Amino acid sequence: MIINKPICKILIVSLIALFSSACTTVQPWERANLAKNEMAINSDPMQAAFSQHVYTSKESTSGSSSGAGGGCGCN
Amino acid sequence: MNLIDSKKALSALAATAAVLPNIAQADSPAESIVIGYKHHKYTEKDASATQTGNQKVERYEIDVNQFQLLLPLSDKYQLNFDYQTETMSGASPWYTYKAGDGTVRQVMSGASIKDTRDDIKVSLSTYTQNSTLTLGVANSSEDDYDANSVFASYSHTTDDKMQTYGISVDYSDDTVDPVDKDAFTPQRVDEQDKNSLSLMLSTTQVINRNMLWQVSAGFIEKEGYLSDPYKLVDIVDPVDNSQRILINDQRPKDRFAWLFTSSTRNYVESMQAAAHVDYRYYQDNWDLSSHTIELKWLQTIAKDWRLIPSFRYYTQTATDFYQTYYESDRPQKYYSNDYRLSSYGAITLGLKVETKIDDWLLNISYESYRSDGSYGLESENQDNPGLVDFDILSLGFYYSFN
Repeated sequence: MIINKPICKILIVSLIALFSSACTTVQPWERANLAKNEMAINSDPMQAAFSQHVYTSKESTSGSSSGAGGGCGCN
Repeated sequence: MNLIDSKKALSALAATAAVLPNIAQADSPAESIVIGYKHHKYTEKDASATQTGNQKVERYEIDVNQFQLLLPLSDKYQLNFDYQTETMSGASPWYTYKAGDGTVRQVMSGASIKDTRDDIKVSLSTYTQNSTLTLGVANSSEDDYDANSVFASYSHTTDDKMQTYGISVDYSDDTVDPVDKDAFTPQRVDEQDKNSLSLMLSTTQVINRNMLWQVSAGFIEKEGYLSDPYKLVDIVDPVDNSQRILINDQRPKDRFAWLFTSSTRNYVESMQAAAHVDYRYYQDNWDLSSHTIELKWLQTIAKDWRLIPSFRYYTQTATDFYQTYYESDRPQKYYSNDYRLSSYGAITLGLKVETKIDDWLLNISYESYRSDGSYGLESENQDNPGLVDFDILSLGFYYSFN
């Protein structure tokens, strides 16, 4: 396994910090930048779906934040 | 300000602020019908004479046409259609062997493979004030492979719009029925089944007016025939240890993986640009683990024009039963020399340009993928000669019927 324990600890601490901290509420009129297309988690869904299909076919890792996707007999 | 007013305010801000339209809204139907089309030209680099020990062999070339239709039915429902058709030809890695000089060579399948794949996906999204539920079905079919899947996802955003929690699940039932079963020795397997189930949980946090962070975690479980029916393995003959024989690729019948992802989106006002940083960690019970990191810089270069350079790094360890060359019998009888199970790393460099002309969003991109044993974080005694390099040219559009 190529992940080590210090990395795990940093990860866990970061997550706890993220979700336990009181992030300042961003008001609707302050969200112009957050609403931009380039700030979307997935700003080009078709390209992302195609890329996921290619990488799942050519590498041994599958899955993303939105799920594993369908299968194929790709060689 | 109540929620409806908040939504209107957000839409108004988005309309004035967005240079390019937002195709990827997750919390409400598209404002009008959207169609999308992309053509991808996928080309693998030839297997060299050094890799094959014989002559250069052309690997896969795939032409892909991809279509999307987003059909808002009301302010609460939207139908989503995705269709992808691929035409592929070329050779793929068959098995590896050790040559007289001690180097491992790749034998290719021959350039006779020609196949098409059709992939259709239909889903219905239902939107309520703070939640979205999507239910869908999908089918992928090839001459020798059929996959039927169902999927569901649900997300809920808190009243102050600071957090979104999501869950997604999908199940796929696949059948492989290899072609030309009797044409080879050993004979290829008869029809085989496998199924897979995945579950992911995610949460997205607004950090400040210029930053989002999404983390997710989940698992993928696969059961059934997980071997590759078109690959062979060169092993010591268990009957006569002085001889070597070819057998079919043999892998365990279950695979359980868990993964973790992190995605941040940062808007840099001073440069009119957004930075995307994505990371994924994967680990499975075949002793394979991987890290993937992807960086994108979305730079506005003029009104309605955007330039997007990208970098992706991938590294994985080998599965516990993988070898390029088996010197002895394995007690569990699992054998594979598939390069995809080896230890290696890969780098992808990409560049994309997109622009908006009236209701059209046009884009063109080029990606170059290079893999090598030495790029990986774990050193490998012997690189797999089947490791692939490829390039992808993509061009397409989205059109909104405003």
